Amino acid sequence: MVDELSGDGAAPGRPIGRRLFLGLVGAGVVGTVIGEKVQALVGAIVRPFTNASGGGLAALIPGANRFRLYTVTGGYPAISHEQYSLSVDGLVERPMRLTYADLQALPRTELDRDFQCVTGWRVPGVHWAGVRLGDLIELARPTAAAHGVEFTSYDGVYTESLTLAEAHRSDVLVAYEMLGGPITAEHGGPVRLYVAPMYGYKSAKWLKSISLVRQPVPGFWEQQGYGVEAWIGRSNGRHDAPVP
Amino acid sequence: MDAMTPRSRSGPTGRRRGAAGRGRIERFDRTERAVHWATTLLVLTLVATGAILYLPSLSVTVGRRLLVEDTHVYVGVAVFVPLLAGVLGRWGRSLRSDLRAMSRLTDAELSWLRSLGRLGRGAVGKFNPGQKLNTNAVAGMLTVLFLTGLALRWGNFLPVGLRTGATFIHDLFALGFVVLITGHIGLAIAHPRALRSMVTGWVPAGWAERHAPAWRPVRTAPDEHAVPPTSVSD
Repeated sequence: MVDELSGDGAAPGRPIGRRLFLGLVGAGVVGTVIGEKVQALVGAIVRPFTNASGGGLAALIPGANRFRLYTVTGGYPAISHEQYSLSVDGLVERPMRLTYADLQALPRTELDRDFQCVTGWRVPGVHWAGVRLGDLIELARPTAAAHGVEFTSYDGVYTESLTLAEAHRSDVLVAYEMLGGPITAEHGGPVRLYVAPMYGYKSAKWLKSISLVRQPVPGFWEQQGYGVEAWIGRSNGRHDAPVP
Repeated sequence: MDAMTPRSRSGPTGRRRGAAGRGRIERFDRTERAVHWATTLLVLTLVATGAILYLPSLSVTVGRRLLVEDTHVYVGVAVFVPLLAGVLGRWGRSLRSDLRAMSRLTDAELSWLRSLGRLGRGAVGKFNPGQKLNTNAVAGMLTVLFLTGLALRWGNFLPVGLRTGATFIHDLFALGFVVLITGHIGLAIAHPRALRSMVTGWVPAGWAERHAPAWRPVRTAPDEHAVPPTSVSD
């Protein structure tokens, strides 16, 4: 019931459409190979125009060095500084519950370090301020049985962990400032963890509790297959430059 | 719908759509429309979930990253299934013929394109050169998105430089892709007759005469419900 056209067999014209298709696929492949360098270039060019906090128009530019905000639940918890409290418990002689003001009253440590995500993005030179995790743990006096530290989040789902030795590093903070101001709710405020030498998923947001345990227990992303030992450049099959 | 109307074997006069441009012409057959709308559904899901993963303000509003990510990945894996199912079957004759037509441009079409349409549409067939290029660009970008997407989800064995590059290209091509399909949707809204043909399959012969004078349609039908050409605005 259909009249077939005879014209198609002769195929008039030149295969320009096909060339465009193949050209784009080729550009995609070449771009993937050299993309890391291009991305570094783009990042350097747009850096003066971006706000690293991840908002604004800069969020639209591929390759810009900016935070991408991940939350694993529906939305994120919004907790005021007055409401906030952090418990330190588990295998300790002196369980504690600290307010935001308590944390600010403790010795302050500042760091300027990159934030490196396991998915590839890296925000250079982020300013962090907070209390050393090791100091907090010592205040609570862990028992001899404690070899791991477990963290929970106010989002009710996220968990993380470190060994006790890792928790005592001087570049591991219970942070209440980042990017030069109080930590916003999007970035995990009022208080989050910052584990400088490890991939970002270790730096638990909306920190609710610090529990001393016998052994580290794999956290949320680690149960999805990410490495429990999340050293930047030496885990998760990645070779990023370490954060100094 | 075409199933309700009598189909006529287009005779020697029917093929040229009749002197007064009466009747209807089939622009997209059932297979093509099914492929189009199934792909539309998949692509819109990909754009929505991709936006949630990519835009920080949406990421934090919607959250549920694992669910959004899995949806994006598995819908992405399926994105070419409708097209392949349409092309590979014996029901894909018209689709295959259209794809062949899309891949080639004649010198006359190129001249029309370079004149930005001022040259007159005499050389324009079923698909105008802009549509042809857009189709190939969309297909090329979607292919790149598909391949880089696979590399991101299942490419753990790849060197990290390649995975970083794949992320960058995936983001970049996604932006280009969204620009193109936004233009596509905008033009469809601006040309309701063309849009309707992707729903019903048919265009009025008068429309075809104005927009695609060089089109030699395969299937036509006399149509008692045909809209008089004077009332056609697009």
